[in-house]
Amino acid sequence: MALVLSGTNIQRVGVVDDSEDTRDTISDELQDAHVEPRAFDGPFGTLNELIDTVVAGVDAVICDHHLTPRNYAPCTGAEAVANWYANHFPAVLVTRWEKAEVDGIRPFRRNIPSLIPSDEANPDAIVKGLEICIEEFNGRFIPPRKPWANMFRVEEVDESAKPVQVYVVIPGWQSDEVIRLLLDLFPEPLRGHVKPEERFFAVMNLGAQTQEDLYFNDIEYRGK
Amino acid sequence: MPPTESTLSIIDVGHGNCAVLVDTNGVVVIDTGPGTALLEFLEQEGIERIDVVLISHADQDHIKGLVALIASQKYEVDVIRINSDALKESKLWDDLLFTLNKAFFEGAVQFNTSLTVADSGGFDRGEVHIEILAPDLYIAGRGPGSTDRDGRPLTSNSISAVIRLVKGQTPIAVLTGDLDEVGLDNLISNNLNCTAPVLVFPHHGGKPGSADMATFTKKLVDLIQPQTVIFSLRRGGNNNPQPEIVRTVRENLPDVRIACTQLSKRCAAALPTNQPIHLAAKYAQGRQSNRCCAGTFVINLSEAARPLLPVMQAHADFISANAETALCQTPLNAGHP
Repeated sequence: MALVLSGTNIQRVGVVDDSEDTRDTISDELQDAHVEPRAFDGPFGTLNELIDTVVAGVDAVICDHHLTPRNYAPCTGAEAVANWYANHFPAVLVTRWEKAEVDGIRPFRRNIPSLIPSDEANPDAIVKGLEICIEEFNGRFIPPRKPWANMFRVEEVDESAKPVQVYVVIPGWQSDEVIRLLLDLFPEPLRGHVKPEERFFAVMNLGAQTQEDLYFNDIEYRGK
Repeated sequence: MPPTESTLSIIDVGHGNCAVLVDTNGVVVIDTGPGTALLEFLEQEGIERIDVVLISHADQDHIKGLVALIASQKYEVDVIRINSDALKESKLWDDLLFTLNKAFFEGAVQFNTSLTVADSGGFDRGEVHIEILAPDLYIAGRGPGSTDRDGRPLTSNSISAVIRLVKGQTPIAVLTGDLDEVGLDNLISNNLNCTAPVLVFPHHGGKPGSADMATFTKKLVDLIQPQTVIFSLRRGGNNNPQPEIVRTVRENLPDVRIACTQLSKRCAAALPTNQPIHLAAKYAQGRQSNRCCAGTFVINLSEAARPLLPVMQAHADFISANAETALCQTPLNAGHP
C-alpha cells in the first residue's frame, strides 16, 4: 500500500491524536486511502520529541489540534503541523475547532496548508490535503493558499479585551469584511502603532475563501 | 517569460472588469477587477512590468485589484490614471488613494486623477491606439454628485471612462466600464467614431441604473455596432446578464456572438461536471470550479485576422451541451425563466 503524490512516495502515514478512538477512526480512513497507518500512542514530553518521533517513523502525518488533554503532548496540533511543514514533512491538521480556536491556529496558518474539519476527514480529503502540502513544498499553491504581499488597515482596537483584540480590513480581499486578530500576532516592536486607521503590510493569502483561513506573515508598519 | 504576441485579454475576474493589452512596446491594464485575478493572470503570463493602468471609475469591482497590485510590490507600474470621485465614500476608495498617493511620493508611480477624452493617444505603447471616448471634459469637470447639461444627476457610472482600442485604421474593441444612460447620452452627443467589432458591455450586463434596459441597450449597440458582445460577470451573485439586455442585443444584431466570462445561472442551473476544453490557455477565475462559459476572452492582435479565443464553434458547442436555457441561444420568441 502506497501513494505517489506529486512525485513523493507516501507509504506510512502517522496519526497523532490524544484520543485512542479517533486514532482508530483516522487509521481506518487511511487504510481506505491505500496507505499504511501508524497511530502514535504518546505521550510526548516536548514538541521536539513529537516532531522527531513522527518524522523518524512515517512518511507523512495526520494530526489533531487538541493534544494537551490527557497530557498527550505539550503543544497544539497547529504548532506541530507548522513545524513539520517547515521541515518539508507532509502534514495535515484535522480538527473540529477551526473556528473556535482560530486565534490559536492563525499564527501558524501560513505553515498549515491543509486543515480538514473532523467530520470531513475521509480518504479523498486526506489524500488531497497531503497533495496540497507537498505541492507547496514545490512552490505550487492552490489559489486560496497563495501568498501575496498586501495592505491591511486597522478599524478598531479593543484594549479592554484580554488579550487585546484588533479589528482589521484587507482592501485587496473582502473590503467590507472585518477580521478579528489578536494584538499578539503583531511583532512586538510594531504593537505601539496598532491604532485605528493605521495601515500595515503583510504577506497574506488573498485567495482565502473565509477569514478563518487567512494568514498574516511578515507584518510591516506603513503609516496612516 | 514575458509574452511575445500582441493580445488583448478580457480576463474572467468574476463580477468585475479587467483587460490586459500586451502591445509591442508595453503592457496596458484597463480596470483591475476584484481579488487576485489580475495578479494570477500577470504571474501566469510572466508579466512583471505594467506601463499603464487605466481605471474606468471608482467602483470596487474595478479598483480592488489595483490595491492588491500596488501593495504586492511585485510588479513595476509606471502610469496610473483614474478620475476623481467626490461621491465615493468607501473605505476601499480611500485605501486606494492612500496607496497611490504614497507610491507617487515615493517616486514609484506616475499617478494622476484625470482620465478624459483629452488623454487619447497618451497611453499608446506600441501599435494599438488607445482612445478615451468618455468622459468628456465637461462631464469630468462637473464630476459625480453634479449634473449634466440636461440637469440629470451624474453618478460614478456616468463618468465611467469608455476606451476604444484601434490598431492601424481597424478598431479592435470598446470597453465601457459601468457606463450608465447619462454617460451614454453624453458620449453620443460628442459624435465620435465609437464603432468596434468587440464590445465589453457596461455593468456586467446588469441594469443600467434607472434607465430602461432595452432603450439603453439599443442605443449602445447602434453606437458601437459590435460583432461580439462580452459580459464580464460572476456566476450567481447579481444574476447577470439581464435577459432583456441580451434579447435586445440579439434583436438588433442578428449575427452577434455573445460571450459571458462565466456561466450564468440564468443559462445553466447546474455546473458542467467535466473540465471545459474550449477555453483559451489563459488564467480564468472560474476555471478551477468549472464556472467558465467563455472564460478569459482573447483577441490575438499579431495576426491580421485577429482571431478570437475561445473559438466560436467550440464555445457554441460547450453552450449547447451545458446551458439548457442559454440566453444567447434560446429562440428569441421563446419565453425565459
